[in-house]
Amino acid sequence: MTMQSLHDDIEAELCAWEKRHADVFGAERKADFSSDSGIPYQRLYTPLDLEKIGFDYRKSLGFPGEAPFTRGITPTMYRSEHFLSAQYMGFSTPSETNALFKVLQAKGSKALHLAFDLPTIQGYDCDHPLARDDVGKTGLSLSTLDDLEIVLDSIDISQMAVAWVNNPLAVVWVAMMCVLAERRGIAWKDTLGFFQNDIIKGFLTDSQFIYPPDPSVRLATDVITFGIRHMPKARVSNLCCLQYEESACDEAHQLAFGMATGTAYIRAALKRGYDIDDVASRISFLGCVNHRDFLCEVAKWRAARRLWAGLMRDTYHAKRAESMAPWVRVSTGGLDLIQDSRDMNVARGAIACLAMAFAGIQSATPKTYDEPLGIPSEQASVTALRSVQLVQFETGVCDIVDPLGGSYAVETLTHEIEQRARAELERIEAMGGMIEAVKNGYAAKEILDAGTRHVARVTSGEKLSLGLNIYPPDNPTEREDFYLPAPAAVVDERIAALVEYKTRRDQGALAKALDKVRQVAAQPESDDANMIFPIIEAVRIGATSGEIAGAMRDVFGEFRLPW
Amino acid sequence: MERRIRVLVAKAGLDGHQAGIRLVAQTLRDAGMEVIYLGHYNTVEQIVQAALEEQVDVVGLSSLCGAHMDVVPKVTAKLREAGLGEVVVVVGGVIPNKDIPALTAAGVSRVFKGGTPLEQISTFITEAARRKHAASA
Repeated sequence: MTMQSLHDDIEAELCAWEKRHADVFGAERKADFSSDSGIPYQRLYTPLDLEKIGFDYRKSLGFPGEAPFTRGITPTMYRSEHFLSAQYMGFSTPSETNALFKVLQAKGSKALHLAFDLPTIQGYDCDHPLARDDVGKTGLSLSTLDDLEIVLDSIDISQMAVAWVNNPLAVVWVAMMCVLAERRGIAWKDTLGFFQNDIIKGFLTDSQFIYPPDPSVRLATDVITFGIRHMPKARVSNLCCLQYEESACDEAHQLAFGMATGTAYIRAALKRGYDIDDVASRISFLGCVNHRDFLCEVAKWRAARRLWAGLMRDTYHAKRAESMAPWVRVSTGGLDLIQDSRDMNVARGAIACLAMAFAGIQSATPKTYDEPLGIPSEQASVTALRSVQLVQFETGVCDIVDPLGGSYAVETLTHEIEQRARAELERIEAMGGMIEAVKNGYAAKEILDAGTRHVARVTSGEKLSLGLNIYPPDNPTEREDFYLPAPAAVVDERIAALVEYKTRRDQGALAKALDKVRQVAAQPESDDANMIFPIIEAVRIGATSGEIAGAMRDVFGEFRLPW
Repeated sequence: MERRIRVLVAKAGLDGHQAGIRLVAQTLRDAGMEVIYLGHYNTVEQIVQAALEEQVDVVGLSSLCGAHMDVVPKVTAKLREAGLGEVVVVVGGVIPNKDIPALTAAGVSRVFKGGTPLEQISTFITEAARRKHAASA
């Protein structure tokens, strides 16, 4: 039978089938079926849909571990190694955080994602007057290398990757990890770590930025180029797509914003004379896999791999496989967690963990059932970790590489999402790239529109959420095991301890080291003026993160959003 | 003609999550109110000072990072000190149920948790501000 006659046969039979069942089609639950982002869901997908999208097995999918990496970034995927499980965690004080680290490590967590409090993220020590009300509220309060010693007590930083969910001052945390490695007799080159280091999302979503866009991007580039030269095992650039999903952006915007952010950092590093393969191979993604629109979430990461691989190979002329194959870390969706639906949040997370395995991601940080209310408690973190392990050890889906590959529906959705993301990416690149899209307000406007649309859809009932707009919550009472941040007395103790610590240092050497930070910051960006080196010197002398951030404030100034 | 309702919306401290407060500000503007958008990174003093200068009827505080029990009672106390005890204070964001009674006791008229329809916020504020106008007329 020829391909054409096969096509004709299927088409004819599909028509006949539709005629035979026209009456039930008219009585479907809804007139229009589509994803939350407006991607149409057809009743049925057939080989005809693959023809329509120009599906070509070799070009569209190829084989795992090879371009275009649609089916996965390694040939064997989870048959060799399960994706990493890493909870987002951090209690108010270094010792509480260390204890939690050890609990999660013992239960099988393979990486640790440090959650910080807002003063630490924004470059204020806990004794700063602006910090008081926020100390320890959203995670760990960390100012000194001594604090970090306690946080990572008996954690081998050459074996266990510690993730720093802390973007504006990634330069400081890299420097602290380098000095900690020295103290422990570990070479910089053997030190693991995930430094989120994406300042651009801070300007657009959670306001986690300190300095204006240009010096901020310089600092991000300092981290990337330092990583290329000195920390070959650390992940030094994680392009944030997650925060856009949490802001209700659709798949196209999540991927396009993340990728356009990536090309901005790549161009900055190329301008300093780095080779594209050295830069691109150090870039990872931080995204989201939600339980909502499950198949679109799977399709999204398959599309992302194909799109990024093509971009790196064809536009940036990367040659190495690791430059094209994106390493993807994901969280589950927080936007869909409901404060008063604790048990449903557990179910939501577990379903999303299954989608992660189908999506072919590399590291999972599922959100916890109590995350609508604050920093995850130990019990909630364990439940989330166990949800990942359930998928890995019990479902069997990890034994097959890209098990949904070839599905008419999934391939069609993958194509659709890739097209939409490519169009958005091209729109941003045409206006001058992501930094321009931040400065001119375009990206902020798109995000505000997405939020408005989300709220309108929830209010109208087009978007259904159990416990919110369909069926009332089943367990509205809050449990007592939610994590409560450090009480005022503990915060006061920490502040007093830091004030005392500050008196114990060689003040002359400290002032000199901070001056050096200011001097280098005042130089134009270059490899010779990489901020990490003077910051390492300052950390060795005992400078706090707040003092280092403050020295850079003196030179770069602070940024206020114009919109 | 009825006086336009004046609402100050702000975040105190270092919490920078903007999506919610922006949507609320837009909704209140669409409902015809005068919205003074103070944005984030404000001290309690700055918020109270702005409320005084702008002669607002309502102060809306957004809190998503757990500082509400520290910040909100300070704002209501300082408003009273500044002679603005009659200003309606509402709070929105990530607020555990168990904290709501204490916030109410501190002078908060209503807490809007995540997922609250925007119209509900706008209706509540309209009615509360009208009652305030009627009381002071």
